[in-house]
Amino acid sequence: MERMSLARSLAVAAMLMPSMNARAAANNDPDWPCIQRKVPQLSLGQIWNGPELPPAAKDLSKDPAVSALVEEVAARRMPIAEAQKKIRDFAASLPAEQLAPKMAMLVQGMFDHMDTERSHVISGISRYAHKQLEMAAALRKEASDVDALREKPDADPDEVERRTEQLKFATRIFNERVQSLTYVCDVPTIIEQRLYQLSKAVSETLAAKKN
Amino acid sequence: MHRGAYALAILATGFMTDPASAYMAYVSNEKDNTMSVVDTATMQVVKTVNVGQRPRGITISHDGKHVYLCASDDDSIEVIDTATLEIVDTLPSGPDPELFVLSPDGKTLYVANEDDNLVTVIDIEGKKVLAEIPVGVEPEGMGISPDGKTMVNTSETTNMAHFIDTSSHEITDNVLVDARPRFVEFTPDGKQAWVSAEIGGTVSVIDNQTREVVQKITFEIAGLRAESIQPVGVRITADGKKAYVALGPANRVAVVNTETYEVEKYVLVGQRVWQLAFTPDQKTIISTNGVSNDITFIDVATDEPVQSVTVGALPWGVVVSPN
Repeated sequence: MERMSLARSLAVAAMLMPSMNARAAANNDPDWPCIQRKVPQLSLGQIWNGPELPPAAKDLSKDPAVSALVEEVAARRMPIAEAQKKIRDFAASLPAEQLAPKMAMLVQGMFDHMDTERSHVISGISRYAHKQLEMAAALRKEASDVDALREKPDADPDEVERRTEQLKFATRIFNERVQSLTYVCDVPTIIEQRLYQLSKAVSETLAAKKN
Repeated sequence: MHRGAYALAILATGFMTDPASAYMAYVSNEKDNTMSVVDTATMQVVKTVNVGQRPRGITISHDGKHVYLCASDDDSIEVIDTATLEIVDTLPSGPDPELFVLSPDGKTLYVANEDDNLVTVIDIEGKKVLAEIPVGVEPEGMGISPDGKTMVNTSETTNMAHFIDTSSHEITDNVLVDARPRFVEFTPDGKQAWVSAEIGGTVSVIDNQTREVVQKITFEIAGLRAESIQPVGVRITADGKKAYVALGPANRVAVVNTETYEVEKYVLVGQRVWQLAFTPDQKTIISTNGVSNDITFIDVATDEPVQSVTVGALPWGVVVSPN
């Protein structure tokens, strides 16, 4: 009975690995395990349709208010509606002639900040996937070693028991990591969604001014 | 008595809503297994219907009475009654149906079975499979000529558009297009088939007589990396003058002049734009934006986005009632 379940969970592990490899192959990157296509970096054009941002928009360090706002709204713990309201409030507090340049700075700042965060997540996912591949290889080897040991007539039953237990435990960890991958793979998208919603709030403040 | 009530109902409808735009849009939401029903006049979600697993391809019968929906992970096509919004039937679809096309006479559905390298031909009334046509690897896009004689399927991995004779169910031509072809749309005169390529970033225009690529449309957007321009859904206006191409993570819909093949405008709509549908009056085109979980109404006269409406999780396809 115990052997059955062990064999089954290993079979599951084995099944999951080729599918990970197949997905990765589609992305031409063996360490990319997600079904989502790997897009290492975003482009500003994906979120911004407004006027071209002036080079001065890059110089966030000169404006502590904007850079503080970027930090604040980029953090995912703040509900999106609240973050959008912060942007509207900030826009409303600005003198008319400052609205466009400060909002340009804000968009550029949010983009740089969140794209960097997203890139870190993506390299994290690659490391995670790489570790999974290594774990899978180690599990397969240990499973066949334990099988070989069990076949031996003079095998120590305690040793067989101990290694079987260890293998079961390692397999469980592996499977749990496979499960978490679904969530982990969603994180770059969640950041992208948030960035889009924040930029939309900025566009709306500029459009409101025109009307 | 009944007739009187019916006439009254029609009158009431006529008075209450703008008859020019009172249609229902049906949106398949791939991630939360629902279909959103959106009134195109008020641009509000009027109902969310629970459907099968991983709904993707969606279309509607010509009389507007039934929505057909590919429940990909349930390996079936669901038939939804548009009056009651209940699932009233399922059709045998073969494994993993992703996208399909309805024949112009409304009797036959041609289904792409992504996992099985087949196109399944289904007789809707008889609820039976008429034929299974082996095609390239990972079949996806499906288009049919207005005369119903030619069906085109694209295979994502083989990078081909397969032209299939609908009377013999045989492939007559294979046309090589760019990487990962996703969608096929015929021009209303039936002379051309437009095939989008998601990874290739192009739309190939294929002459339906010679079965050769006569034009390749490319897209360029300032400030955007080329790899984020991924053409998927294509729709052409009934007068054949303008084509709309959904550009995936470029978050835009391209408006193409079908005479010059020039892109006239890029409309920013929402994140990961995949499919498109016109309202029957052709005044509006609706895009599904998967990552921002919304759909966008675009005014066809001005090509300006009018309104975005939040629907379910990961909206995939959209169809609008014909009446």
